[in-house]
Amino acid sequence: MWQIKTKNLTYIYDKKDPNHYDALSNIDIEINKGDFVCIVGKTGSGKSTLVQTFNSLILPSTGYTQVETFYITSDKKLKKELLKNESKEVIEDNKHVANLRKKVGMVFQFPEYQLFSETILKDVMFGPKNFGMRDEEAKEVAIKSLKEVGIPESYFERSPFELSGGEKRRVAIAGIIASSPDILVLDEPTAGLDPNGKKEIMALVKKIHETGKTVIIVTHDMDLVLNFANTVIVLSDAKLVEVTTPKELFNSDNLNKYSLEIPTIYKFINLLKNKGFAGNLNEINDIDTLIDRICEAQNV
Amino acid sequence: MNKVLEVKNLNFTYDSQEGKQTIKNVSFSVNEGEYVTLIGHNGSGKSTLAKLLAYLLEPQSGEIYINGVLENEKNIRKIRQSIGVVFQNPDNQFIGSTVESDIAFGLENRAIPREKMIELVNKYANLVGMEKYLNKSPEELSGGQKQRVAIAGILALGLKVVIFDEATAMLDPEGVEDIKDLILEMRKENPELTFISITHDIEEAYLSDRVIILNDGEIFLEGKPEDVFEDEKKILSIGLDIPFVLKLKNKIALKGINVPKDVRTIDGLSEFLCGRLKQKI
Repeated sequence: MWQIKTKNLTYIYDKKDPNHYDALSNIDIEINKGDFVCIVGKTGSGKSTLVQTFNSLILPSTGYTQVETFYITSDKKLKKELLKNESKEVIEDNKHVANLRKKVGMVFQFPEYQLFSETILKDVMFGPKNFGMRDEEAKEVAIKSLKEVGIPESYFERSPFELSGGEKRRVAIAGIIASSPDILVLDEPTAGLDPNGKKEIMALVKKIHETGKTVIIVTHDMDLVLNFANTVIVLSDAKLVEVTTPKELFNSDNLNKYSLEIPTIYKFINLLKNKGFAGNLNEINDIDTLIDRICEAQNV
Repeated sequence: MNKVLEVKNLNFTYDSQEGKQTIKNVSFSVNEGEYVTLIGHNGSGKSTLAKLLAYLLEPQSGEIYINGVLENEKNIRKIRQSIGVVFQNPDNQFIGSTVESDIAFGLENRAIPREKMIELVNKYANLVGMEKYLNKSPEELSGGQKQRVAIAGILALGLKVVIFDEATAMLDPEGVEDIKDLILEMRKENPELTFISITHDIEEAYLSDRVIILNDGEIFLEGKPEDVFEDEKKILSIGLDIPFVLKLKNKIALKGINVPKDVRTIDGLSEFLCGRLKQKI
């Protein structure tokens, strides 16, 4: 059952600009509850714009995005039409964008730049308080979230600026999950982190996903896609071009067409194939299998 | 070889971090035209070092010479004419209201004649593939596009040393390749240009002239990439990884297939493996 869908979603940054172009063009997608989705595509393909409609930071110019029973569009006539058959509760709910934002937690690119409070604990409390929680309650959920992301209690009263890049990012994520969203959207969560930082962040995201939340990640990191995603959505030039699985995507010839990076192991396998490697190269998805096949072919 | 950058016994501690020294007694030098990669995990002091090199931070002790000039307050003009940094976050370095004015910004500060300025702006906008966007404002650009503009702005200044502080971290793969090609092109066109790239991309490091690994503010290893990455355990012990090609080479070496040391690319390795197999048949 879908939890998020878009219908004929088109977005134009500035309609008045005579040179305006579609940042998103006629996108129809459905994302299921509990799925782990990666949205990929080259820079400027519309990935970030698309996910920003999910919590109404960007309103579709035409068409709409729907998160459960919340409708997101700038087309007032369309919204009226969509809400026509909905219950009173739904109509009322749709008036308050905060309800949507509580449901869809958004972790932006480089979220560590958005930390601002004098202590880590206060920073994480900010979100829940903003959604109307009292101080004590907010403190309680903040402590719980910080523990969840693996920040030790001895850090709570420190300034967020004393943390390493990976730690700051985990604090920023704690700030989002403190409001217990059902859907977690992360824009480039691993960018700029070292291998250990990447592992930490992704282990955390995986843990969050395992609690039943829907995870949607915008990324250029194809190793992340390969290792974590169930579903991959590919955008190219503002259009939806593919909804598929990681293995299918990386074993297809479409990667170059969409200017996506092939994980190094597949790049290498392709090179071996092209150079006439005399061995079986099918169905290799990890380095150890690759080594076995190389040795097999060399009789060692 | 002409040493374009010399760092002697550099020490630095941030005011906010009582007692915790970020850069500890770092010394190294870089030759003119060299392509040096500086790697290390988050918090190892890489970015601090970049800021020190460009005199955006002042060291507590130690000396940096850029093109023979000691870096201090008095020489700031000369320093700015010799060394520049492209940072990681494109939003923090877009100054102009349009692409054109952003690339021109540094040139305007240097009082370059208008005609020459237009020529340079066009040349470097072209190099980074942003020539069609000259009149666009930053809100209309993606992060990667903004970063290409920042790179064009730095390259247009004709500096001796350019530092990329994880400048490609936010670009898409095509963008990263474009920039890597651009670096090669720039170095070919101007062999005297010196590049220092601060990166997490160990594949990039593996292909550079020299690698410096920083750990806890100190130089941990330094040398040619094939030597630096040789001790896999040592590299892994500080939270870094070794390049894909090397990993593969090490694993098949255990089974008795020895690949020459100078094979450093997947292209070279696949060539070797296929060539070797054909010989057997």
